[in-house]
Amino acid sequence: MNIRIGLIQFFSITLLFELGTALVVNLGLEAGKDAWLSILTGTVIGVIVFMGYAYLYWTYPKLTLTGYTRKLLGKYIGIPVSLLYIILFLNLAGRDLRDGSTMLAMATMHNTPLFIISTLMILSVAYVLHKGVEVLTRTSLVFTFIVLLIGIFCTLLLMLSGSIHLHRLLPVMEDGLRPIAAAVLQQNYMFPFGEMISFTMLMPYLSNVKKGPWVIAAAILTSGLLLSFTMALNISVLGADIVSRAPLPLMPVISKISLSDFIQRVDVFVVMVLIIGVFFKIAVFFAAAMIGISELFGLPYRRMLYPSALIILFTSMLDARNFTEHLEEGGRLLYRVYPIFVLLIPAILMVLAAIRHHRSAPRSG
Amino acid sequence: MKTRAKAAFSVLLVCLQLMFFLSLTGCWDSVELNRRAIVSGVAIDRGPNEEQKYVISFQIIVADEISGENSRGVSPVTLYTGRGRTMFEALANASRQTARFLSLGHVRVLVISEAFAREGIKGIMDVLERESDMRLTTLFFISKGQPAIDCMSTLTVFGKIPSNDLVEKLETTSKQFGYSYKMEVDDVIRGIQTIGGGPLINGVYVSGARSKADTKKNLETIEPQAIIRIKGLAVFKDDKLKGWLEGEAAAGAALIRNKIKHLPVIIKMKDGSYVSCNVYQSQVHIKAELTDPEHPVFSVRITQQAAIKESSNDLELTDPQVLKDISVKIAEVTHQQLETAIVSTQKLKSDVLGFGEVLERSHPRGWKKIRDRWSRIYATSRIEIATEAVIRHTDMRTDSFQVNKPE
Amino acid sequence: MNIKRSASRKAGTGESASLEYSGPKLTDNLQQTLENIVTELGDAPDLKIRRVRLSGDRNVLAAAVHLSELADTTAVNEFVIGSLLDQTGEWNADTSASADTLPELILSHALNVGEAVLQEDWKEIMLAILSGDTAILLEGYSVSIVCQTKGGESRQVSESTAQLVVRGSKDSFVESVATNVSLIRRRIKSSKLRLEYMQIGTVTRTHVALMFIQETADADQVDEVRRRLAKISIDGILESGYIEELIQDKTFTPFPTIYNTERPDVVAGNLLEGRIIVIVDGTPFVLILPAVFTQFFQSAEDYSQRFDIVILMRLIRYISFIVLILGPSIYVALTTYHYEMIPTTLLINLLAQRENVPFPAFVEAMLMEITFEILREAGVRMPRVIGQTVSVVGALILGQAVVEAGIITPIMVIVVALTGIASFAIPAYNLAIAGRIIRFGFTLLAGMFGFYGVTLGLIVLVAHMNSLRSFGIPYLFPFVPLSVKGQKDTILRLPLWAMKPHRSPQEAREDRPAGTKVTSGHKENLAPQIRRKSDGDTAGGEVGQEGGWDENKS
Repeated sequence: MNIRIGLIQFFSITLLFELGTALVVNLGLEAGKDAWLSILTGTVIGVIVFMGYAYLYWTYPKLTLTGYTRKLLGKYIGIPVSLLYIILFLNLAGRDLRDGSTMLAMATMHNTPLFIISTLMILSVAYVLHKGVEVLTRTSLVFTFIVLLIGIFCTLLLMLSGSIHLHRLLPVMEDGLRPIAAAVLQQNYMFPFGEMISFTMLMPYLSNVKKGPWVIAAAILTSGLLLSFTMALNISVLGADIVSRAPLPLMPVISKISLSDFIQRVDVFVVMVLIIGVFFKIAVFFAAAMIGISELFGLPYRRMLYPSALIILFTSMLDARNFTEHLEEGGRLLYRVYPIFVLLIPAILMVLAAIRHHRSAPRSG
Repeated sequence: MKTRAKAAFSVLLVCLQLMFFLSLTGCWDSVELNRRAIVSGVAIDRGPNEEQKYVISFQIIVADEISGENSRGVSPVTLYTGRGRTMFEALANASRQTARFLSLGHVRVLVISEAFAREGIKGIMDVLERESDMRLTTLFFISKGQPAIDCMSTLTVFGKIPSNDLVEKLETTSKQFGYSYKMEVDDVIRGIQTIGGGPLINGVYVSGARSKADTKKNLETIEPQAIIRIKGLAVFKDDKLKGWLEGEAAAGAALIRNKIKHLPVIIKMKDGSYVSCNVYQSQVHIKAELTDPEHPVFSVRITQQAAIKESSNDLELTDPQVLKDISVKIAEVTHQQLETAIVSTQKLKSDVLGFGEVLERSHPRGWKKIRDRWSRIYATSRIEIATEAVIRHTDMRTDSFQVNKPE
Repeated sequence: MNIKRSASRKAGTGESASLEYSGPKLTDNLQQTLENIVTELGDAPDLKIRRVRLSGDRNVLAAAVHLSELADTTAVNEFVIGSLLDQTGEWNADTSASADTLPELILSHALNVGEAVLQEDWKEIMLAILSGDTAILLEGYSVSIVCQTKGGESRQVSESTAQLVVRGSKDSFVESVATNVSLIRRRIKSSKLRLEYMQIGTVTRTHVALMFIQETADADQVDEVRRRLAKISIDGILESGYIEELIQDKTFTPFPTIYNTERPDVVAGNLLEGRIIVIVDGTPFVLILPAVFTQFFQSAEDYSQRFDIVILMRLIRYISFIVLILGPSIYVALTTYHYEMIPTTLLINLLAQRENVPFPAFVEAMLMEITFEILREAGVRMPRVIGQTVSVVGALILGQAVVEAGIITPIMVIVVALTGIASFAIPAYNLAIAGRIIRFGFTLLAGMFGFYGVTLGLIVLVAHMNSLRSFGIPYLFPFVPLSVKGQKDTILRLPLWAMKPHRSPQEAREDRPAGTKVTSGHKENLAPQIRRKSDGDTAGGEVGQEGGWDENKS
């Protein structure tokens, strides 16, 4: 019997997935003060792209991305493309693992080897996936609450310590639309919203075919608003320049919280948010890859779990020598490779699906 | 049964893996509290040469002396000094002298000597920002005309840790009777980045017999031999100290930056007597007009609420007209303060008061044309001041009591 | 004789029931049958055989067999043997003339006991005798009349010792199933209340009662419980814990998935909410299932106090649980990894305290926690009088001495004491134990990785809890999957009028999650495998099956 995952759980896993690392890193800062606007724009694009995936899902509600790829492209093209997707997901998981562990190492764990941090993380992810995708989504529900609570708490504390100066956001669009557009084109249309491609692997578990994609779209929108809000908050607390130079701007922002010497340095909350976000991000990519593998090769889901975890771990370790190189490589991938998988192939699939559907529709009805 | 055994086995395997890794991992980042030397304040002085450019003194808390049962009756803080070409080298040198890990997580105060500030503080700021242990809420001071180390080595009466005493002094004065306000690391960084301006930083100095300040003798007399005082605002241009604002000018600057909560205002009446008021709330509005890009015109409007705290003369405070007169005089005093502040900063050619930001926000296009020349333009730009004051009440009495009051 | 005994021993060591013999044991020869009984019970000195000759025209030898230590001797004397002798003597021609056989005649015309049946099965007869009933055997008939004469000593109904309340009923279950059933029946006078008996344990043949309210309880769940109970193969059940362990969904978890209580009012309340209860003979602890996480934070008193106060109490219990599992780990993580979070003045205090302590904070925490567990364990086992001494010595003297000796910092003692007390604030003892075990894991993680370890540990813990099910119901229900309707009695306890007290069984069931899948293992929790074969061409879309949860309905 197939497992059906409820809409609320899908909403929460999408939210956590989108917030993931994006919440703590600086996002769209090519747009300077208007980063928050570029995030909003990116969100809209993300939703539009996602509706494309949703169309594919509505056409084949029981199939995953790799499933309908093979159906539409045929066996000989479909299988290699599916394989490429699986590799993409494993690679994305590995990159996020590296992201997360490096950020943790920068933020608190200065002396702990990256390998240990990553191992602990990937083992936890593997354990949760061992329990199943349903458990993953359910767990995300709990941690969505925790992340939102931390967010509300920190925002309140920032307000109380009087660190928010909204005038630092002004003037809006000082240099016109161009920087925003540049930021969107460079980053925001792909990160984090383009990564929704991994959800095409999970969507067959949706409990409600009609409403499901809309719920996910709503989650993308919500996460976009939250990200935009966070970025605006960052800038209004520290100013655009400091934010743009901080790899984890949320940390210094939260460290500005100081309430009568009692509540201070609560930036460990940011670390918690970071851990939670990275965890679910890796988990979703990992799950997408696992579902793809088990579907493509007909292997039991669990058998490939630990080998894949090892692959992810070593991808993340051998990815780059340092963080800057890693980011550089990420930028290149973001430009050249990901759009093929996120935009191009799905677009081709959509066209093919539309043709097929159009042709078969008159016959059936 | 078989699957259950299999599941048990896999769980066991995971546990084994975990244990394996846990046993391999030491606790790299774990430092026991009694291996830490908690730094409460840092003083940075300019060394004599480039080899020893940075002379950093760390005020370290001796917890045993403060709250331990087995205190030896020695000083509650201790000072370690390191020298080096860079901040980090100096830090490392100081760290080598201590038996423990220098922990910067609780640095409350950072004092930079005036000599260094005149030379430029950019080199100092980077490590403060980069180091993840440092907190952005650390308060900044410029030691006025003295080595910064003096401020770190003066024992204080209230609170055993001198740095905390300084923090508390600043907090108290910023809430009452003072023009000093909190200057934190990120404020300073943003200040340095202000085009044509710089940060305003509180000045601090040790008054009295500095030679005795670092021993317990300082506290043995009723009147302490040496006291740390917060005085004056250091005006920076970019990252270099240009001059000081004091008295009226400092108060005016704080007023324009809208940082003042309570400010005493003393006004002289016609008959030569004085009336003291306390200004509770000030609201500042700055507007910029840019008809001619080379000569922007600013108008500063300030509205204040005050209460009469002292009036030992025979003024009839029940008469609204009298209160009105007084409030006009308060407005005049404020006007004077603002004007002094603006004039002195214009003289120093540093827009520490943030007029440029106002211009940027209201006229972004015009601002772009003049931003490179802003400090020069600021020095000559016209600033109109409109002040207004309202006396809310006269506190617990109306008229003052009189000697042999005539019937 | 000897050969037979060794044979019986062999049979006893084998897998099948020890009462199995070869050849018919129940014969129409009274003497032979009695000998068989004596042999089977190994010449038990408490086996009493009373031979009587029935008077009247059917002049037959009869024997009443019972175990004197188990049966109610008065009942045997007066109602069984007495009535056998007296009433058969009064029989007249009418009764004699009836077509019934003698055992039937005795059953219908003699015996002043409430329950008596004809029994032809040897094993059943032996079980009846071993349960304290009296078997009447007649010469010439290979059938026995089993009369209910169960007696023996049993404890009086008294106040609950494990689950105390300030306000609420003061009775509690005892070791006898019959008494326990009566306590429940007295509270729910409904014809819908169903009771089923079964015997579990090949040797002990323990009485186990299953109770539920028809229509309110989920029929699938009841079937599943029956099935799981029937599947149990064990030689003995001595406590309800045995059953709990054998029928729960998953064994590799510290969390209890079946609730136990010794309070009849709690049982009655749960029955009304549609849960199923299992009563085991020989223990006052009754099992309630299915049980989800939130249930372990409910106390019987919650429904007799005002709802607003109860909400506060519940919150405190949840907070206690968090303090219990995270207390020491947060202390360790804060002091050894994130010292910058501690307010400066507090930090100076901690620093001064730690100055002369030889152990790292992690070791210190472990030492104190283990010491505390030892004290607690010792206190539980001690006779009540000494128990107090132990706790005084342990808590006060040891705690103070340890601090004065400079081995442990005072703050650590505070932390440990706090977690200890927090563990007692949780109403369910078995959940508190689970929390205490998890606490050690978290302390370890905190010692190794600080908040990183703790956060990952939390994620894994929540995931683990999410993977648990109690008879098909997700363990964290109604938080995950989120059900707004289900929140009425979780952290919140809405006023009773808001909880709709007069609902129909149908409505009551809708408020609870339907166990969509009743599982006996954790197979169903696995991620599904989408096989290529199932890739039917389903273009056009098909609305997925709606689950039972609220969120899907909306």
